[in-house]
This record gives sequence, C-alpha cells and structure tokens, in this order.
Amino acid sequence: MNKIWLIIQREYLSRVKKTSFIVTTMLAPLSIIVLLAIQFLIIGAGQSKKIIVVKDESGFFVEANDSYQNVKLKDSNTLYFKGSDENLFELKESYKENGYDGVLFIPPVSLKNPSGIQYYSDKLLGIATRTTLEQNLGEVLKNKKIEEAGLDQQFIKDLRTSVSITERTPDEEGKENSSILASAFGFLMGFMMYLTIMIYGTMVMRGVMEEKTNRIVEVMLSSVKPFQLMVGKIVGIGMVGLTQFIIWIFTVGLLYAGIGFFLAGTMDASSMEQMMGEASQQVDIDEMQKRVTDIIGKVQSLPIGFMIFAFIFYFLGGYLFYSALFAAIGSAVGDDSSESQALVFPVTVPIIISFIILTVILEDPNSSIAFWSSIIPFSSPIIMPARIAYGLSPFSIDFFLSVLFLILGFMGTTWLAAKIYRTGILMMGKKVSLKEIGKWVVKR
Amino acid sequence: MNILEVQNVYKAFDKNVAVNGVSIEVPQQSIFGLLGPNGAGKTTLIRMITSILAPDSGTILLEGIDDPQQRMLRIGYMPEERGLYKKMKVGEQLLYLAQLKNMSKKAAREQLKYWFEKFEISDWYGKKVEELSKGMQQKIQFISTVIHQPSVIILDEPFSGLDPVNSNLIQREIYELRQKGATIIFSTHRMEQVEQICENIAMIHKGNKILDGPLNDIKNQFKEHIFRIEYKGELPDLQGRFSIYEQEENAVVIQLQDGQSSNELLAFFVQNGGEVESFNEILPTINEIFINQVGGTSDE
Repeated sequence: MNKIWLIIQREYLSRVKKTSFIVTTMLAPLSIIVLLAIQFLIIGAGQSKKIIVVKDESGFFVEANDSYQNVKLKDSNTLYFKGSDENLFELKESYKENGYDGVLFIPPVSLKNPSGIQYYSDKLLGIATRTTLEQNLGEVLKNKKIEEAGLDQQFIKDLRTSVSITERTPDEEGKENSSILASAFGFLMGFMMYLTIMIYGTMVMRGVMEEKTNRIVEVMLSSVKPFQLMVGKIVGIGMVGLTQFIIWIFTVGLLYAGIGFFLAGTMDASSMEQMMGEASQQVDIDEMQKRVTDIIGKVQSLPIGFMIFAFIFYFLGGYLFYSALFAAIGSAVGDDSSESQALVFPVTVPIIISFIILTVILEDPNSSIAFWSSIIPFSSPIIMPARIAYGLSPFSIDFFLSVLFLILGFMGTTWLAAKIYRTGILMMGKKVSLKEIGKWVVKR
Repeated sequence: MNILEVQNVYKAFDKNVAVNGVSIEVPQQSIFGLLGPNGAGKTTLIRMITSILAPDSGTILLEGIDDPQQRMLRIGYMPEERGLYKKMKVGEQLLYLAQLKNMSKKAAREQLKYWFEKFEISDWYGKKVEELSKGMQQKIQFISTVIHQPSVIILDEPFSGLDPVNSNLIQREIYELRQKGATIIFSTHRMEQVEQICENIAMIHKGNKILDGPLNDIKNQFKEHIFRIEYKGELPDLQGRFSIYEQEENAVVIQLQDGQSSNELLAFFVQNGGEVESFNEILPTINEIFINQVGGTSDE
C-alpha cells in the first residue's frame, strides 16, 4: 500500500508541477472567455452599415412630394433607407457613385400580392439582412392593411399574446425545469466526459508506453508488483484530472457569478440588441431582459449540486473503467506507436458510440435506449450525467443501477487489464495481436 | 554459507522452456558469475530471483527463506536494458527508487549524499536525467541499484555499453561493496570478464545449467595437464617421453600423458641440460571449457 502511495505521488506531482499543466488549467477557462469575447467582437464587426436607395412605384413604402421623400421602412443600426424619384435605370447606373450599397425597386404591387420586388446590387445581402429587409417590408404592408381595415393599431399590438410553458417535476417541491437548458447542460456534461475520458485515458496509455520504452519498467518491477505500478499510475493521473476539474468548477462558479452581474448591471439596451442580432428588432427590449433573467433563474433551478457530484463520480468511474483498458493497451504495444492505433481502436469505439448515443438521448432522455445506455458501464459515464441534467432523481432505480454497474465495471476492467499488463509490460520488441492479448488474459 | 539458493527452478513461456530445472548456490559475500550465451535463459533466471517473474515450479531461498516480497527489498538489480525516468530530476529519482525499496526518506538522503560525494557529482542533484550524458546516466543507474544497501546485488551484463572509465569505476565499486558484506551476482555472455572478477560461476545453456562451482575448481577439473616451459639455450632431447603440444622460440608447451607428473617433467628437463626460466601449468579458459561442454552436451 505504501508503495502504491509513493507511485501515486510521483505520477501526480510530476504532472501537476509541469508548466504545461498549470498553463492549460489556467488557460482553458480563460480561453473560453476570450473565445466568447472574440465572438461578440466578430458579430459587432460583421454588421457593416448598409444604405439602400428605395425606388417605390407602389406608394406603400415611400411618401413623396416634390421636395420630400419619407421612407416608411424602419432604419436600424445596420440598414438605412433613402427614397428616390429618379428612374430605375439611372439609379442602377449611379447608386455606387452616390454612396449607396444597393437599389430596392418596388413595382406597383397590390397589398394582397406584393410580388416582383427587386434588389439590385453587385454585393449579396446575406441571409440575415435579407430576412430583416423582408420582415421590414412585410411590417409596412401589414400596417397599411390594418389602416385600410380601419382597425386600431394599439388593439392589434395587444393581440400579440406570448405564452410560455413552465415545466415542473411532479414531486412536492415542484421544481421548475427547462428542457432547452437541460439539454444544453446535458450535452455539455456528456461532451466534457467524452473529452476527459479520451484525454486522460490516452495520458495513462502514453505513461505506460513511456515506462516500457524507457526500460525503467524492469527497474520498477524489481521493487513493486505490476499491479501496484499500474494502479498507482491510473490513480495518480486520475487525481491530476480531478484537480483540474475542481479548479475549473471553482473558476466557472466565479465566472457565472460575474456574468450574472454583468448581464444584470452594465448591459444597456442597445448593446443587448446588437448582441442578439438583427432579428431581435421585433422583440421588445423589456421582454429580452426578462428572458435573460429568466435563464439565470432557470440555471439556478437545475440540480447543480447533484450535477457536480454526478460529474465527478462519472468522471472517476468512467476514467477508471477506460484508463485500465488504455493501460493494458499501452503495456502491450511499447515502442511502435503506429501499431498502437490498431489496438487502441477497440477501446475508443465504445467511447465514440456513446457520444453518438448522447446526441440521440437529448431528444428523448427517458427512452429505453437512454435507460440501457446509462446503465451499461461502456456508455454510462457519458450518458448518465446528461440524464441527470434532465432532472433524473438521485433516488431512482436507474441511477442506482448505473452506479452499481459502473463500479463493478471498473473493477472488472482493472482485473482484466492487470492480467494483460503484467505480461505485456515485459514483452519487448515483439508485435502483439489482439488474439495474443486474449491468451494472456486466460493464462493462469 | 550460501546466501542464495535456487532449487530446481522451472519457467516456460507458452511452449518455450526458458529455464529448465536450474539449481544454483551463491556463497555469502562472493562474486558470482552467471554465464551463458545470449538467449540461454540468464535474464529469465535473474527475473525470477528478483521476483519480477514467478517460477512455474521450484524454490528460491534468500537467507533460507522463500519470500518474493522480501527478495524484492533485499536485492539490488541493474537490468541489461538500463532505464530511468528521463524527465525526472536525478536526486528525486534516486530518492523515489530508494523509497520503493522501503527505505526511509531520511536514510535514502544519507545514502544519496554518500554516493554523490563518492562519485563527485553533487551538482547533478537538480538536473533532469535527459540532460546527462550517457556515461553520467550509467553512474546514476548504478547508484539506483545499490542505494538501498542490498545484501545481494545483481548486475545483468553490467559492462555492456560502459566506457572504460565507468567500467573501471564499477569494477572497483563491486569489490568495495563485497568488502562491506554484499554478495554480487553478475551475468554476462563475455566469458573473459568472469575470469578476472568471479570466484564462483554457473554456466547456463539453453535453459539448463551445465556447470557450476568455484572457478578454480572448475578450471582444475577441466585442466588438460599442459605445461609451458621457458628456457635458455637449446631445447634438450625429450627422447619421445613427453609429447610436444606447441613449440615456440625459447618455449615449449608439453601435455603430460597418464601417469606422468609435472615434477617428473621438470626433473627430466633439467637433467637433460635444459636451463629453465619459468615453468607454468596452462589452465583452460572459461571460454574453452564452455565450448568443450556445449560441444559435448549439445542436443543439436
């Protein structure tokens, strides 16, 4: 036991002390912030201002007299309209010289059938701008129709009724939950699991291969049992992962508090509008703000505590389950890393399939495939955290079975890996096939 | 008294028998040579002694006790394929390896200091192994083998890949450690090294022990009664009584026949006017004995 502890310490400290660990641990949350910031900047920068000259022959869109062109289309941050009574031909020739980006030509359309509207420009509008423009035109025609029908504008505005459903669990607390948010968090958790199992699993494999190619392994095995060496490495690296998570959970917690503050306090209406893109024009700013606070409220309604617990448990369980297999592969391959690809494949395939299942599960977290894949230890570390984000109770039979089978599962893979490892680790300069590895397992 | 006794040890991998019922006895505080060509089963035998592998059958007694765990702690082993953690610092690495042999950190530090001062390498403590030259790494490897003050030190092909300076250094250290009470086993396929260093040997061929015992006894056992006489002047007439094995300038090599003694030869030589400068028995080399043995027992 004392020896395993020494090995764990070495594996842990040698990694945690590395500058690369400190850098990635610190930079990962920071890079998320930077990415978000860049995204905002790009959205801002991408919205170039467009000035469109409007030639209206229908009379619906431009009110004109001799000296005055009043365009009814609403200007926005990115779109400006200017009426013109010049003829279309001349406009097409001269719009660029006059500093316009394009010509919007409206033939004498009827209210019922507003077809034949054209936009002339050597540059395309882009989908977002085009949609905005179409909505803008439609709005003007709608208002015209309301007017012609003799209806009250305010009345029509009031007609717009927004309804939202609140989903609640049927238990006494009646916790509020949100499908959209749950699926976002579920995906995030599953994805993180997938990523970390892969990253830390391969780290174990590389560590084992390194010892083998360095030939230090024979020195080590004259002091410790193969099982001690393997388990020490797996646990040591697992603790590195855990350390990283705890730091991340802590920073994300701080960030979350920070963002909440940022959204509630400093964000003014116009920047919000800009952030949400042009489509938000139709939405009231008040409503927008209400939604944001709503989201924050709903995040708080998620079972955060249980999610963090589940995340750590399934990381550990999934990591132990798979890293034992990765260690076994590492011991069998040794020098030739190209050869390792073929042997790693059978281990990575179930991880990848689990990830694919995850995307299906998000559609229906209570289907039978969701049930089975969250119990089988090959996929449960990736699937179960997602289901927990959906509000699966910690007291459910699903969760109980999942935990039980995962624990049995990693005990099984560790047992299996130990058998492969003790033979493979001393096998030098020999190409190993899966069949041969199978023989080592059944060997006494 | 024997510190290590290997009794009838057998090990097979699949259908390949690597060690076939080998028994050896290593006297306390001796320098013991395990000989045999590459692939004879030396390394497998050593791995069983060091508890890296478990024998399929047979027992291995260290100070009379068959306990693999105990052997792990009491033996210092330097494998043929040397290896250290390249990215680890020299000092940390040696402390780590010593602690894995159940040494306390404090005791390990003291030993480390002793060896660092002895080899005059105290300034290497904080260096990573990969920053050291090959010769330097060999010194570290040697320290890692002996730092926990093992009672038995096993060196597998210790001189392969060593530069002459390190080779001498390690040879010196082997004698000194023996002086302090350690028993040294080393395995090699280079027979001539054994003659310089070892007192006892065992010869292994194709998994079988073909010969063992004190080096001098073995040599005597296989001696062919060949004597070399250096002389001045003329070679006296041997009158056909003694057969000349080899004739050189001012030296003759003679093989005695059954019933003839060396005294007889010397007396005859002198009486017949020979002026003797030196008179030696030529013992066979280990290499010759080995070839002789393998030739006789080869199953090919």
